[in-house]
Amino acid sequence: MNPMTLTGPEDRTARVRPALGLAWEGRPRELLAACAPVVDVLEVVPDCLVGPSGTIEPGRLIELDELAGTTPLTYHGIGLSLGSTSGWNEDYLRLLDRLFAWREPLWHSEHLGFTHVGGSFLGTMPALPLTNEALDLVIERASAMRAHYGREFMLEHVATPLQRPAEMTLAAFLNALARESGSRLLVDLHNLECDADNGLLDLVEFVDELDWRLVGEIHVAGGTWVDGWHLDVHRGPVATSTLTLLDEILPRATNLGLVLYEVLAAAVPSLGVATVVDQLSGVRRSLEAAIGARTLVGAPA
Amino acid sequence: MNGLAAYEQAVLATLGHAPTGRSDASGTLRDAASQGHQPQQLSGGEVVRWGVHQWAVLGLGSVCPLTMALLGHRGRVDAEVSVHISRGHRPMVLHHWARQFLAGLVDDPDELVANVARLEGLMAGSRHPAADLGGAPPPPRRWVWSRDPEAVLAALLTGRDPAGLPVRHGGVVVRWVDGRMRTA
Repeated sequence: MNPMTLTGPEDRTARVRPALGLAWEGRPRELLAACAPVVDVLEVVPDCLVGPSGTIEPGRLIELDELAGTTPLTYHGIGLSLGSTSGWNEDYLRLLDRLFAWREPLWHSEHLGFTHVGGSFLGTMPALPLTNEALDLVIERASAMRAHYGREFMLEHVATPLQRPAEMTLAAFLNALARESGSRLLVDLHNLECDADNGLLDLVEFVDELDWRLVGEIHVAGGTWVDGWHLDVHRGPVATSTLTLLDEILPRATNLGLVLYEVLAAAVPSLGVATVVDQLSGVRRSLEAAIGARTLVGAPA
Repeated sequence: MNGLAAYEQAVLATLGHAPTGRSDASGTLRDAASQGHQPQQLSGGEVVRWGVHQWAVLGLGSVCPLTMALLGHRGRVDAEVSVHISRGHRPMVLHHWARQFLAGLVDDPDELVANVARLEGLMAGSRHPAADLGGAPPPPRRWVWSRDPEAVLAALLTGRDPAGLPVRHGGVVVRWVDGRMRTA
């Protein structure tokens, strides 16, 4: 895999490798206005741009063109339900088609889980079991997504407290997925911490076993605790432990294209736009410190 | 537990949904269901159900704030949201699911709840009439409120319980014309 083939024509990501990004859920406008000049990439969540009609609200796209017209984009979906045995969610593909017709992303991504069973939305996203059957399914579908849209299609491990069957480790599953699907991985460090805190993952073993050269994007986020469970609800600042893990990982992830801060749109009013900008600055400092001399502005990869 | 399909059914059972009865579910689970046994509950289910419920309250509150505010005054939010979740067949689009929620309340024994839900459903429907209501019949275009509707809405918008408003003798006839509520 050559990361240079994965960048778009307006390659602002070439300024710094890996690039700094922010997840964008379509609101609030003041967050976009404040952060678009600060980040290298915006990661748009297609599902969050859907309005009452069930389709992408044109106003959301106009807003992005107004405030982030030259900012490279990635798309990060929720509702594809890649792992549903009855097939993925075609409605999500229509959202993606609309967005691809509007602006081509650097790449797009989804989750190693399922949101629909029998056509009904679950209201949550269980992770796929770590089985050969699940691996075969997602390799086939991820390869199809990459071929159809002509862009790399990364997949992210889901954090959930739900027990799931396993025939292999998470790292072995992800290594095989990346090698056989032809797309890099999206690894969410906070998700890993959630699983570790919930007794579902040995984080040290995972970090040692995963081939970090296969990772194209990293997410960092804050979470919350409920009744002793560490939940992946992005409503706060990034924990020190997550930033420490990021610092440990960065030197190993030599094909990394993007490090991104995720925050819920609904959390921004209480968190504050200034806090989000400050979080981005903190991640930027980690990137610059870790990558050092090989991420000079304008330097070729 | 055998296979992805069986795992899906276990997730459904853990979330409190009915099994889908898909033909490729594993024999073990289908046999269990036919014998009256529930598919196994997954550990971690309690906190996931709590999360689904919390997201549902947040989402419905953003789409039908008046009805949710009124249910809040009645202490019924959690119960009504739980009932709606348990119905299953949930569409991905929140606005469509919220309209189904409102449709389920238009015949509520509490006249205020029924009226506010009907009004909010009409407001949403006038913007997007094609939204799937899950087979629910369209609400009537004319109906009677026992209290001044505008006062009821003003109360809800300012965080007050409209139950204390005076009852109007003979009621107030409300019509829905061209996407607007009219009381004259």
